[in-house]
Amino acid sequence: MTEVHQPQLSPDLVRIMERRLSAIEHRSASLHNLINQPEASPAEYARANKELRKLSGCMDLISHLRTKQKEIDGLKSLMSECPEDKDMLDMATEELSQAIEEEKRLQSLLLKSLLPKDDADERDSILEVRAGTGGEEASLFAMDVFKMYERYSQKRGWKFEIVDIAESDLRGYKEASAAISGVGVFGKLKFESGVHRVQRVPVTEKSGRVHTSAVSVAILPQADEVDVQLRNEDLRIDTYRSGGSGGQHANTTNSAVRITHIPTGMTVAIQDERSQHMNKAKALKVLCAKLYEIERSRIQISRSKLRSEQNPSLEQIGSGDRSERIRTYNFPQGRVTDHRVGITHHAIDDVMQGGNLDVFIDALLLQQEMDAIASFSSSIDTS
Amino acid sequence: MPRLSYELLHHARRIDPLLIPLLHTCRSLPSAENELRWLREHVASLNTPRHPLASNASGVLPNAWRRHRLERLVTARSRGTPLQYLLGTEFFGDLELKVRPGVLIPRRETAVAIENLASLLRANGKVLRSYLLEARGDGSRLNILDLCTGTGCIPLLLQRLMRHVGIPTQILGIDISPKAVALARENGSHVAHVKDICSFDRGDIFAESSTKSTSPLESLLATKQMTNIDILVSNPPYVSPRQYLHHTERSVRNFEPKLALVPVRRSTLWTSGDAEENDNRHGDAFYPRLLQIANTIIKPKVFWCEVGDLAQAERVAAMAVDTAAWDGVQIWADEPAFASTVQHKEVSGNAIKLVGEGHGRSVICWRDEGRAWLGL
Ligand SMILES: C[S@@+](CC[C@H](N)C(=O)[O-])C[C@H]1O[C@@H](n2cnc3c(N)ncnc32)[C@H](O)[C@@H]1O
Repeated sequence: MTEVHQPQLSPDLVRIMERRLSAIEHRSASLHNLINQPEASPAEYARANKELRKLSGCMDLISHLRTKQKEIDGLKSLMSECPEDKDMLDMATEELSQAIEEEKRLQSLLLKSLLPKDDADERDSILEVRAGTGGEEASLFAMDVFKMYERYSQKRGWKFEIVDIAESDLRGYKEASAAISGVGVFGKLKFESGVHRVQRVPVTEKSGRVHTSAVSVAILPQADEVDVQLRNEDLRIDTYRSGGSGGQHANTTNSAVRITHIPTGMTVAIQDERSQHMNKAKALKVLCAKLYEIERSRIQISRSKLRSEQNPSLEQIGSGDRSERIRTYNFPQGRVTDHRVGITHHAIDDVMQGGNLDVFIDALLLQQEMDAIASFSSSIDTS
Repeated sequence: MPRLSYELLHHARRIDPLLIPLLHTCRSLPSAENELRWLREHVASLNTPRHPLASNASGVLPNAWRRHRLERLVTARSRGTPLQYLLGTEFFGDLELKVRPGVLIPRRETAVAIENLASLLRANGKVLRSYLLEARGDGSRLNILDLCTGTGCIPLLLQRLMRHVGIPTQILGIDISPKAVALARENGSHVAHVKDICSFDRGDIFAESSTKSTSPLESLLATKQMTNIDILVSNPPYVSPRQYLHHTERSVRNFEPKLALVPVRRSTLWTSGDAEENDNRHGDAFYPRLLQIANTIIKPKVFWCEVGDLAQAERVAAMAVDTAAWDGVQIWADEPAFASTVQHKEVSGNAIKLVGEGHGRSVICWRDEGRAWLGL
């Protein structure tokens, strides 16, 4: 198992960040100045106040950092002033190393708060698992993967609501979706999108030969009608109509709802609730998530294009590309390997129980952070 | 009924043997699978009865009891018992209402029409509110009467939808069947908000008073302080004897009350004419009476009623036009919210709008104020 470290701040990075920090201090000071001016118009005042509030978290950290840095300077000059006093030197050295530790901690916190955030990270998500190549075995594995996320969600205290399941003959899942809600769901799960490959002896296989099959996973940030600017005119909602003239003549239990988004032609059909209203609500949820994802990936593509033009060596992970093979679950060898960070974990059962998924997720988050740091410093250097 | 293919049955058996009997009634695998899941969830939610032998905590007996219970429900369903009677509830809009044998199960088409009616009223809520204030003063309510109320589904849904936009209502539902009235009262106490006023009473809409002074309906309205009815709604029995025999589902015919479906023949009004015409008249029997009540006793601003198909809708629209009491008449199809599809029908020399997609489902009539309430 690979150890997960805090990113080390290189002197270069610290230098770059210092420039940003003093710019922020500057800005904050001039905003304070403006607010204290009696001739500031109410609008100016409100705008300045709003910006200050936004900066306040960062400013708190900066002032802590400044205090620490003063302390460090003080200790250093103390040490240079009396190089003979051994007791005093020992004490100062110890205090200095503690202060430097603290300085580093504050710097990395600041760096984190300065890195660009994905607005979607705090959102709830829709999980979609789909059996790929491998027939029945793929469906059975799709069910295992779906349940893995269910357990993982339970462990994190998230709510996991099944939206729709299409079962296969052997009661595996041809396709399943769920709505996951809680704190920071998308931020944690977004790297799970892609193709998950399984190698094992299927229960259906009598000769004991190991098969390889695959399921695809998609994690979509949840969105509402406002996010995607959904208009009623753009929707066509079809419900089941009984044969004959309906009404009192018939008594159906079919509550299926199909929503078509006319501009994109996208359709979502849900039928597993007895209430047509609930089916409709679920279908809308899924539709919004899908539309939002289209919009997001459109923005992401143009953004990463921009970035790779600036710095072609940067490779993006977690782009959510569903066709990228991201992970292999090898049951005979009891291991799970994530191909993006090159981590292999040897307790496959724990992973399937939703326990050790964090090994991969944390590594991927860290990797994302490092990528962000790299593009952070390159963007400042070029600017 | 077409036979189910051998492949389908074989496939179903591999998934779950209990699907086979369900397929007999459901006819398609996805709906059989759904129904089996709903029945399972229902059984899982039941409290197991205490059994003298179940005192040990092994849980074996409750499981056996549940399995037995599920099998019994599946058998009942395979014989055509409506799923809603087995589960004890049905959804109507976003309400979950109690249902039980002896009372008609509310239909989706009805809910869709009522939601459309409510959404028109809500869109013009301002007009409606200022009317109520001017005509009846502060704190007054929109009065809604539902004749042939069954489970009480129609007025309860209307009440809820109007409350959401801050229009308080007083609703009254009337039905001839004591079972229906009892059930509607249960539903009312279950879903109505504390601030809502709802009541349900027994009554025959055809009843005439012996003294000829006031009709029983009028006296009932007076005791309920509902003399100003703003909106009259009704989904009366409208299936003709012939349709009942040939065009109703087996499960409807065998398990739902005929009283709720086919008008009881009460006079020799239609002895002449050909058989088809007589059959139609029989199916239409409630509408002249409803219109008469609307024109002489309560004079609502809006009158809505459900019908069985487009032909019946046109006949009812013609009756309404002929009374000359209404300022507007429209026919709504199953999906009246697809308002972009509007056709015109020639009815009694007038061009009547047919709004929406699907079968003809209801007729709506209004007087002048009603037009503003509906924005039509
Ligand atoms: C088609 S059901 C409608 C029930 C309910 N409104 C709904 O939409 O589900 C018709 C109802 O009319 C009632 N009914 C039949 N004859 C009646 C009469 N003469 N007076 C009042 N109610 C009557 C029946 O008991 C039945 O509940």
